[in-house]
Amino acid sequence: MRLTTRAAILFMLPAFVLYATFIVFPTLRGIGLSFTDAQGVVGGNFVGLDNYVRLFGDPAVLSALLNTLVFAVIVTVGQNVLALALAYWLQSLPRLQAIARAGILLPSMMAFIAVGFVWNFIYSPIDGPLDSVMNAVGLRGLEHIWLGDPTTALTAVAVTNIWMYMGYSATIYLAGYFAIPENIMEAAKIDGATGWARFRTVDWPLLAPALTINVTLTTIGSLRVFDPILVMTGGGPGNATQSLSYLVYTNTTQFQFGYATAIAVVLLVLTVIVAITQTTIFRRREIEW
Amino acid sequence: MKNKLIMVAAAAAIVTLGLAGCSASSPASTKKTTLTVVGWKGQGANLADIPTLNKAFEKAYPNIKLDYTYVDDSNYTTYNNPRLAGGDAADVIMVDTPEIRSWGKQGYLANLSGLTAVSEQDSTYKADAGVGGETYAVVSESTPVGLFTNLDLLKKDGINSAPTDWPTFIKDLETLKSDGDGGLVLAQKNLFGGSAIMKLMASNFVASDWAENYDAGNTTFGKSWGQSISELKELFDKGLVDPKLSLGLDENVDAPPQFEAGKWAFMPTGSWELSTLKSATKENIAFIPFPGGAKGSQPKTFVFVGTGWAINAKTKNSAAAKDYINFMSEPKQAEAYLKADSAFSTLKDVKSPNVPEDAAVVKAAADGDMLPSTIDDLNSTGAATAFNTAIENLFINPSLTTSDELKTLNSTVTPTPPTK
Repeated sequence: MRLTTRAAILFMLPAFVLYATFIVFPTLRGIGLSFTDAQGVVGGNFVGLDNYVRLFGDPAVLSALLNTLVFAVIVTVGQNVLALALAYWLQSLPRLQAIARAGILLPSMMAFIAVGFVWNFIYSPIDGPLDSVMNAVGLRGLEHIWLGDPTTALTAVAVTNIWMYMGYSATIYLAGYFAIPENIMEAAKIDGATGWARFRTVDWPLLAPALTINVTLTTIGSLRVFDPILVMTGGGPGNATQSLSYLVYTNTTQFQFGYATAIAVVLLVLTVIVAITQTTIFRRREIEW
Repeated sequence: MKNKLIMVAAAAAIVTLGLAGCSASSPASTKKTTLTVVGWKGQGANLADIPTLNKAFEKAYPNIKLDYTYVDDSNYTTYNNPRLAGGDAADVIMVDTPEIRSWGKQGYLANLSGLTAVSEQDSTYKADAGVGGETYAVVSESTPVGLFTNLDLLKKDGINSAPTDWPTFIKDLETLKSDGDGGLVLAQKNLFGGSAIMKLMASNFVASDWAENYDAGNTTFGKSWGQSISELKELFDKGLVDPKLSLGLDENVDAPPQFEAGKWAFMPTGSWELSTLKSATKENIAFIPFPGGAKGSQPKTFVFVGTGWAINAKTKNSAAAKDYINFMSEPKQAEAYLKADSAFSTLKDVKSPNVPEDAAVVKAAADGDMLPSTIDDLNSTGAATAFNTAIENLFINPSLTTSDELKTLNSTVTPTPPTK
């Protein structure tokens, strides 16, 4: 039976209606709201580009933009390097894989509110486990007020984020390893490629699709970072850990819906540009076999 | 004909049964109203006897079913703002002064003029209960902020009584430090500790009508605030408070457990912590006014308007909502609430509780040494945030001079004349 155009449209209609209702409409409504001085979800007067002019001159927004980009770089690089290392190690230990795969996914299944409180305790400058361990192993000089120092707070939050989602990325890399045809690995082995040489010349190019997915997902997730900051630092000290998403939240709670939405639109545009650029570049590396 | 008769009989039976069904399901007298209430008290350290009071309300009003939602205070505005904006907030909302001003100004709260509980409210709190001459809330308590003191720890280090002036306080902190004990724990991660200590210091120097004058443009953050900033800087300079450590301490996660464990002698916070601290610690504690004045002077403290009850302007259960607020403002319920919160009464016929641990604060109030909270009395809803941020700046850059800090305060805390 051939699928007619009419039937195809009918099949697509439910999905289209849901997508239009829950994605397209709120996005367009949000963009419209960003051109108003709305103090609630409804109402507000049209103010043209005022919110956008204001946000590009707002030091809090510029600081949050910089923090967001720095956070995204730390998390994307750190999470992918560690996840790749973990996946490389796990693929060489077939007996451990079943248990380890479930185990490494566990942190990403937890609620960030719980993870945030646990890491707040770990970083606590009074009797916190991190400083206690460092003290016990003779590294007293490295004790630090991790979340209270503007120079380390953002990195400390990023480390928590990496800990939480590293297993998730590793699972994708592991799936990438499973997708590599066995005969290629065997050929590499016969040719004497082992260790770093095999990783560089065989694994790395063939893991390109997994890398594309992981880097894109990690970047999008970290550009939108919100909950770790809310739970662990509240954007402080000063503006040291304020992200664009957190700024949207603080402005919304102060009833500046129009301004908050304008910041959200900028974040959306930034995320779309970065994601498209990354995908385009990384896709070029992918090879077919 | 026979068929017609059967059809008529059947139709009559259906109509009769239908009417009977309708009348059985909707007699106005037996229909229960569900009243939704939201508050940041009712659980954990912020219990305030709410569950017991709510049960008593349902017993007194059997036709009202209460649906109470507890929301942690740090998420309270996040929870309520979108609901108010979207028109589906709770019928009765727990509020404090900034929320009364912010939500009242935007028309989200119902005008409560004429409510029995409003007429019972002490006139001192009229301005705090509304905006632009309208009354949007019944203020349930005024809450003193002071210094929790571990008397056992002081005694261990040879200090026999809580300090009452600044030189003695500094000397006590130096003694504690030299004996290896914790002195003053300031949890600044959530911006609370620094802001509380600064306002406590200010209560010893700043005039009680300062906020009103600041908003009117008649005064600034001047000499009296400079004295308060100098005291904070003295604590930093003498190593009695580590500003960096304070920035890493959480008001909820770090400071109270440390104080409860007897590791620190002093912790600034509000009276609402008293009940929890009393039951959680084995130490002998006292809640005292702040010893910030010159040698031999009486310690002072500040009080801010605590919780109140307001009604959502869009409620469909206005009568039940009014019943709830009136019930909570009756002496029996109001006194139970105040006792659980160790707070002061704001209602004419309601007595403040008598708690031995806060005797010094009660005496300060009786002696006129308890001032209204300077910053929380400012009209701008963003004043407290701007103030807290400016004080945080001092913790991040302790080398800032007093005059630099005063300039920051004057430029970021906007004077706002009252709404007419």
